[in-house]
Amino acid sequence: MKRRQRKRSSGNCEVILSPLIDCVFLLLIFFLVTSMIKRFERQIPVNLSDGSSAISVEAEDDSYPIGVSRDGTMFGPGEKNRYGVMSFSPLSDPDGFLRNVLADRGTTAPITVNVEKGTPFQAVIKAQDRLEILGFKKVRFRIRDAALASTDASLRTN
Amino acid sequence: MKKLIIISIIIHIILIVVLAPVIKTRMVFDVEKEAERTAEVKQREQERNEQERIRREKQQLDEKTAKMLKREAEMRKKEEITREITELREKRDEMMERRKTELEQIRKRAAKDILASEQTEINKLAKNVQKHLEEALKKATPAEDPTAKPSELREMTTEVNATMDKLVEQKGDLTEIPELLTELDTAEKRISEQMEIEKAQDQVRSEMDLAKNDLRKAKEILAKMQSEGAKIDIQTMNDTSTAEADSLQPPPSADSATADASEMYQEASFLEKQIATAKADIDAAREAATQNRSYAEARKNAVATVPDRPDLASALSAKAPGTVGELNEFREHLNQAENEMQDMNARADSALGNTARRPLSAASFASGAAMSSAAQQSGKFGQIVDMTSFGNRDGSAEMREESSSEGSQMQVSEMPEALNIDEGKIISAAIPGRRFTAESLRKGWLYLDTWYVIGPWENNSRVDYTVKHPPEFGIDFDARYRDGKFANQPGHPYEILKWEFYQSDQVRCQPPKVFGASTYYAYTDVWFEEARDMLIAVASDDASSVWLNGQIIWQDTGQSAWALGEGYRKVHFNKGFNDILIRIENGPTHCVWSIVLCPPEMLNK
Amino acid sequence: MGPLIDCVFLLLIFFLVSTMFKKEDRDINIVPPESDSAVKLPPDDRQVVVGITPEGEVFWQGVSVSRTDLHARLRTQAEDDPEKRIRLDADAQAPFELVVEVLDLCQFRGLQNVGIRTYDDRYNSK
Repeated sequence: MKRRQRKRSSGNCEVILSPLIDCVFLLLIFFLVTSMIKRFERQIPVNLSDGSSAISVEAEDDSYPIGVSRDGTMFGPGEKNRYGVMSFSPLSDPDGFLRNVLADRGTTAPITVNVEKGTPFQAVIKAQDRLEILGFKKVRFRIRDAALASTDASLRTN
Repeated sequence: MKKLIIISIIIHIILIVVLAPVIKTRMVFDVEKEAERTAEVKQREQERNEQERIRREKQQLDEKTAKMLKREAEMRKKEEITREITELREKRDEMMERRKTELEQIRKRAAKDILASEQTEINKLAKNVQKHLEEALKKATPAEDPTAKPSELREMTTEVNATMDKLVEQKGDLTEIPELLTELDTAEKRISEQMEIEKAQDQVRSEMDLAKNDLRKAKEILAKMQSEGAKIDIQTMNDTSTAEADSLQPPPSADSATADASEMYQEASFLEKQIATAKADIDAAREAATQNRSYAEARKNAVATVPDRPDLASALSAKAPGTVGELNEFREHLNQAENEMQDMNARADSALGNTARRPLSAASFASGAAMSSAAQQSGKFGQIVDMTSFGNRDGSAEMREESSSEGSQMQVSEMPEALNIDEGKIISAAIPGRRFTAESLRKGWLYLDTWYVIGPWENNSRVDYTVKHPPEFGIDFDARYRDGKFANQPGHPYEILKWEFYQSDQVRCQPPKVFGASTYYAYTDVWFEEARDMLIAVASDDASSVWLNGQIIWQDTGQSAWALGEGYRKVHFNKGFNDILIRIENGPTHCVWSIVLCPPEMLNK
Repeated sequence: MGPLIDCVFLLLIFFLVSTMFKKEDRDINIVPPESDSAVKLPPDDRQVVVGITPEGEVFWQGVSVSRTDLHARLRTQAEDDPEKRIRLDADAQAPFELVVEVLDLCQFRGLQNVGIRTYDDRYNSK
């Protein structure tokens, strides 16, 4: 009588306990796996400011130009020739130069990055990183038709 | 009991240990070897899949199953394909309707329509004559005695006014011209007589002299109208038999109820061709109307472009597939056919949109011709022409009812004939932009710097705008044109022409690669916050044509170097997006163009 | 009783995990550029993904589109919802002209909410 009772009670314990532990482990695994799947992407938000312009006799362009060449070197602005083509000169200390610009103009003044044709995207992103880290908020991109350092404004011939 | 619990706990601990790799996110061993191994595994799996696929495709199908599967695949696609083809049919019908109305206009064209621009000139001169005579009358009335009116002068003025009115009212009927010419002669004589009488009063005489000059000019134009009118062979000019859209041969068995996919595709290709031909017919009609040319000539220059399509008709009508592979191919062809038909519909949409702009109406003859001639750049440097008075939104000849809020202060009468500005100053103040608002932190003289450019086409160093190239009939950024300058030089980078994106660093824009004796086209959009009139400065090296929203606003025929102030046009920009197309003809070396938007203050100087 | 619950949970997990993987794959075969200044954003299904390969092919939501198609879609997008986030997946070696073309088009049409996707160890490999 006693044995049967013991067997029955031990049988009850056996039947209920381990499957419950199985369930607990399954739930654990389920939540771990699903939390692995939920991922973050990495994006650089680009502030494409409005870009509208008004027309007036006096010009007021608040954008500061810098250049990026095909190998990723940053250039600072130089002289504009009589046709309005700006020539750039390479920067030996881009960070210092940009900090000066930042101090002068603040973080909200726009910067226009003139990129030479054929520059790989990675080089431009590196330049953009630099600007972002220094704190510039409005960065615009343009393609530079001529070479950055060219001061020659002569037109293309065949 | 306790033993069993312990055993189960041990088993579970073993389970955790075994499952630990699943829990950990990263393995702590060599990343490279791992990458290699996974690459290997992937490749082996790919090869296996490939072999499996080939084996499956080689599987034979018996005829009955093959037919059934083929029919099933067709059934599934049939609904979509039928939908596409119904849409295409509707578009074709609409296009043919439009074509019919416009060709009717051409057929009804009379001599007076062809001479409509001269008529407008004459009307203007007649009004001037009347104005001058009024002035003369006012000056002849002595200030001290306003009631005393010089009777003879008044009489003459009334007579001449009557003649002028008659001149304005005549509708260009050539038979009335000889009578009018004699009347004009009499009027001129009367004015001269009067000038003799009023010898003393210089001011009056000068006004009458001006009136006489205008009258003489009107007489010349009228005489020219007469001689030209006599030369016009209206029947030949209005002959629209070269419009071939309704004489194209449809493919056999175009009956939709029992058509299968292959026949539907054939019909779709035919519909596409018909739509393109109809569009070319319509374009030729408009060209003939605005340029006062014979329809046959205009039709010769119109181009009906149809993109190359794969020949799916034969692929789809092939006999029942023999293997699973062929069946899959058949399904692929069906998908492709559906995609092609979707593309055909998209193109038909854009063709319809294109022809909806500025439909040809009875009033278009006068305004179209007048506009084209106004767009011509005369030799005068810095000439300003007002293109807004032509009511350019829908080609109607009436003046626009509402004047836009901004730019309305640029009254036509106050506009100077020509403008000379300091080029260097403008260039230093010019900034690039394509979106224009009234107020912005960025301001200045704005030039358009971003273009899509295509070229070069051969132009043999001659400026001939009657030879047209495909971009003038429709802008398609994916088109590949094989009729360019270097089409017969395989391997040349410009053997096949396509649109390229271009941004300029300065006011002067040039094609990415310049070739002499070539034609280039450049296209861009601009956005305006509000509708307004604007003065734009167009300059080009060498010659160019500019279309704004499909309407010609500038045509330059001389080979000239680039100079910023070459010419100005006052044009109307709609609210929102406007598109600009430039055709640049290049002669010897340089090829440059520029469009600069000028602040309205410049006109007040 | 217990094993039955186990089976139920197993089936549940299986279906949950497999349906999560069935998301529409809008990624294309490119390697985005690396950046230190990128921000981590939760994946947003609502954003529009535009892909640019180094050869100049443009993809809209994972599907290759022609230039005309791209212009048309951006135009409709600007009319529908100018605030929609556009994610630009451009290859690190893509010549920058291609990117400027798309950026300029977005800015011109008034689509100002643009993000450039950058390299992430988890999904990209060089």
